[in-house]
Amino acid sequence: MPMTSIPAGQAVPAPSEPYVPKRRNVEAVLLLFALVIGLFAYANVGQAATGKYPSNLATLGVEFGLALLAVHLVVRRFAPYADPVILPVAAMINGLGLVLIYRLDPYNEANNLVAKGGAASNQAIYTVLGLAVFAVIVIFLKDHRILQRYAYISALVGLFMIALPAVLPASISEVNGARSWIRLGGFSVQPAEFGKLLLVSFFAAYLHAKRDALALASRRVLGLYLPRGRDLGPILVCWAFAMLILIRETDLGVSLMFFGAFVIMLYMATERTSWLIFGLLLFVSGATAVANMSAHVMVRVDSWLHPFSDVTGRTRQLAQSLYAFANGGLFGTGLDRGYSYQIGFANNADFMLATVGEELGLLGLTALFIAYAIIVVRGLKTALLVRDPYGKMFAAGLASTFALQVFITAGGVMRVIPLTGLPMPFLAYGGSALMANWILVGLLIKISDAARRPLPPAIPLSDEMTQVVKA
Amino acid sequence: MNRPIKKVAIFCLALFAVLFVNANYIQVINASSYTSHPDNRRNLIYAFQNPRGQIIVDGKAIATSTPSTGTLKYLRQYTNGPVYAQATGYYSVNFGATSIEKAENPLLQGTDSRLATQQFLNQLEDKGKSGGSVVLTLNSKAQQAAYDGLANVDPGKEVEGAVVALDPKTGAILAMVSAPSFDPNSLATHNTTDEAKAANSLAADALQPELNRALAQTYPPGSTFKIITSAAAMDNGLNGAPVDENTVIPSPLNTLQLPQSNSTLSNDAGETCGDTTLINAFTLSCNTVYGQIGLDLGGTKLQTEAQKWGFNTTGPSVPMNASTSVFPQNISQAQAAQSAIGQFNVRMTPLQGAMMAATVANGGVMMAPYLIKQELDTKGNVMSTTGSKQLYNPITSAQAGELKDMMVSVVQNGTGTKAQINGVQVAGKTGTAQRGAGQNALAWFLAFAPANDPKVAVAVLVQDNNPNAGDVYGGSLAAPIAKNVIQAVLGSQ
Repeated sequence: MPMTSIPAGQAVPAPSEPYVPKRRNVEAVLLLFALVIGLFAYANVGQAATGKYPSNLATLGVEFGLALLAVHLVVRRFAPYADPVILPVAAMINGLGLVLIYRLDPYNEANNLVAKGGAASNQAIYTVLGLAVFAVIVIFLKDHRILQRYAYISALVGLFMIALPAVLPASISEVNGARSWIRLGGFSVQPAEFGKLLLVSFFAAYLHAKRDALALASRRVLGLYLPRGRDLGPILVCWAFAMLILIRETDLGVSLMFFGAFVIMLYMATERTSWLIFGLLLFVSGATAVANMSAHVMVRVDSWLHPFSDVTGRTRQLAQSLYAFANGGLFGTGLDRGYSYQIGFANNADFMLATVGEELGLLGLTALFIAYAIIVVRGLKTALLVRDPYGKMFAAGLASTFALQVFITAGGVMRVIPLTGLPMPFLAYGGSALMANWILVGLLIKISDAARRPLPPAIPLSDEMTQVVKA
Repeated sequence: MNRPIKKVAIFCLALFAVLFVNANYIQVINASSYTSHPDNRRNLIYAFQNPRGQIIVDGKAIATSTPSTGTLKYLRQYTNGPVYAQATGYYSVNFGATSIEKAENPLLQGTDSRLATQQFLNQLEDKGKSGGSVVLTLNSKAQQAAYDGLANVDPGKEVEGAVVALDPKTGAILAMVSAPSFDPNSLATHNTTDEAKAANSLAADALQPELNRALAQTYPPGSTFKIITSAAAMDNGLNGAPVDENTVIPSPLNTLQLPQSNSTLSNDAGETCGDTTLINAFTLSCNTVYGQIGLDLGGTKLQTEAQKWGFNTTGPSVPMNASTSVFPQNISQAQAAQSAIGQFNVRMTPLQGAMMAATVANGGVMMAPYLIKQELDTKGNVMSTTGSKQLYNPITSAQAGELKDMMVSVVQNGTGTKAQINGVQVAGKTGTAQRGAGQNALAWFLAFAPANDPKVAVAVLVQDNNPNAGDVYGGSLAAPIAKNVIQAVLGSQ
């Protein structure tokens, strides 16, 4: 700021706020676009299945339009500087997921894979609930830094949520070999979906507080900075916990995501590549050991290596998934014209991507990956912009956890890595995951609002000489 | 802290890049290996997505595609299924395709490259894909007569058998039946439970209904082989003298002692033959005379003659492949005598039998047998017509004329009188092939008619497993069936 001299005795003019575009109108247009894409896909499915447009196309359009308008207004009012792209992209993927669940419903109903009436109507309710939870976060979370205060409580609750299914009897917690559920009455919840958010918050607060100790106090051995023994504590605890999940819940996906997020955040806090290598070695050796002991994990690794070894049994789903992707080719078969439903169980959850691959083709799949990548990159950009270190760690942690989940799930059904059993974010059928993901987006919106919100103007120093009290 | 965040951003984008590369790999580069996997039901679903072409006999479709509800849009249906089962084969959801359904699958399915332009134009007209059709050479009346004939040999008993009828001048297959038969509709159903049940019961059936005995099974020819032994005698002469139908063959009355063995050959029903003419020995089917000819000629000359008729060469493809008919090599004198009357290790398919009769009928020229008359495009226009093709020329027309006289004599006053037809001169040869102890003999009859202008040549094989069947002579069991088939062909012209 150029120093201009202000004549003594003259009043200092009120500093004007630096202009930062809020970009809310961009968000509104993009939201409309997301809505149109979803409705177009829905109409497309109706045409392909029955030759007619779905009768409730207009009604649904208005209803979802109003819901999106509501969250948009909430963001406009309570997070005016928020990133304008994250919300529409999330809404678009959610809408596409709804259509795909609706498209798979006839087969799943006929085969008793979903309740009568279909899964799509439930998912629509979860979507509205998710948007509501999103709105609540945006309205009531005044500042993301408040969460920093509850770091240790977050850790406790988060660990509890992730660990809970492991200690509950299998009758309540086990679905298809993995114990990651709590099923009571007609309800089932995957608490790990929420637990992961709390743990990311804890990691952000904890690692930010301990970063100096972790980063600086280390010995250099063979060009790598090795952590001190006592600093190994947290990483070992996390590792042990990840292994526990793996052993007790036989849930490779949650375990991998949980530990992966931790190692990435540890690296962000310390900038020490050695942590990364150390963490990776720990996980791989631990997972290998567990895989050799746990039949469930071993089967998944084996199916990954030999996906056609038992096409009517263990490797059936993966083989069917690959058939679906292959049949989609470059342009896809078109919505409702594929046969991915043959995957059977979880064709609308963990394996949802196979339907995208078959019916929308490589083009549609790539577009979807780009949409996911946009959320991740926007989250990381928020981390770069936000000013407080906790916010940086938190936003980057959320974004990279999201990226990990997409990679672990997509990689599993596409045979990049062994199948692990995570739902595809926003796309998959399931209330817990959908709501947790909307909370994640809500948090990112809040942090990005803080990041882009201009600082309250500093009171400028005047050139006037310090007044000396003259006697 | 921004530097590591940027690195994490690069890492995350690298994860997406891996997904993108892998998507290219499984959706484009390596896609065909997944699409062609036999477990992938999409091929099947797509195969049943469009109407399959018809299989047509005498202008009537015997295999059609009808719209169906469910994932598979068209159901394959067979009219008169068991009668045509061996010709059409089946097109099953889970058990693949056989016979014509398999051999002509690209055309019937519509994937044949010759249909590409038409399919493209159909698509433009929004008509969707459809298959081309196949017209068979079968004569529906002859086919039905052959089927009924085998079914009525010993109703309710375990009768196996086969009938093949050919147009001797072209090689077109006019009838092809194997008994027992099966209903291809039972395998074409979309109900996988019923389908599996049908497949299991077919597989468990000791009589192997799926086996096409007409082409795929060889049997000892018995006395029908005397046609070839006669031809060998005419070709080579006997004891330095030329042989024709009236040549007297010196031979024992009732029993021929085989050299270097304790075995003997005797005549059926104790007929006395003795020094008699070739035509007389043929008419009465004298084993002693033909055994003696075998001894005089030796195994090598018999083998050479048999090979001129197609023995020991891979059987023709009609387009289903026929098994190879076999004449044993390097045989002893005793074995030569037995082989000369179609015993020992001589084996032939019923198709080979029909081709032998057709060769005599056609002046010594054996035509290649074929089942597909025409291939039609999706609009029913003829795309290709099978032309007749000479396969072998084992005998001269003069020799064929003499063999014809001999075969006429068999039906007029020999073992084949049951094949006589009023007003039509039928030529034939019976065969009653002995098998192992406790097994009924095989009844054969090879024939063609009318003798002066042959329109049909036929081979009938009956294997009656009923232990109380009584006399199972070729002349009694097989000849009447051949007669009915001949009448059906002549009557429909």
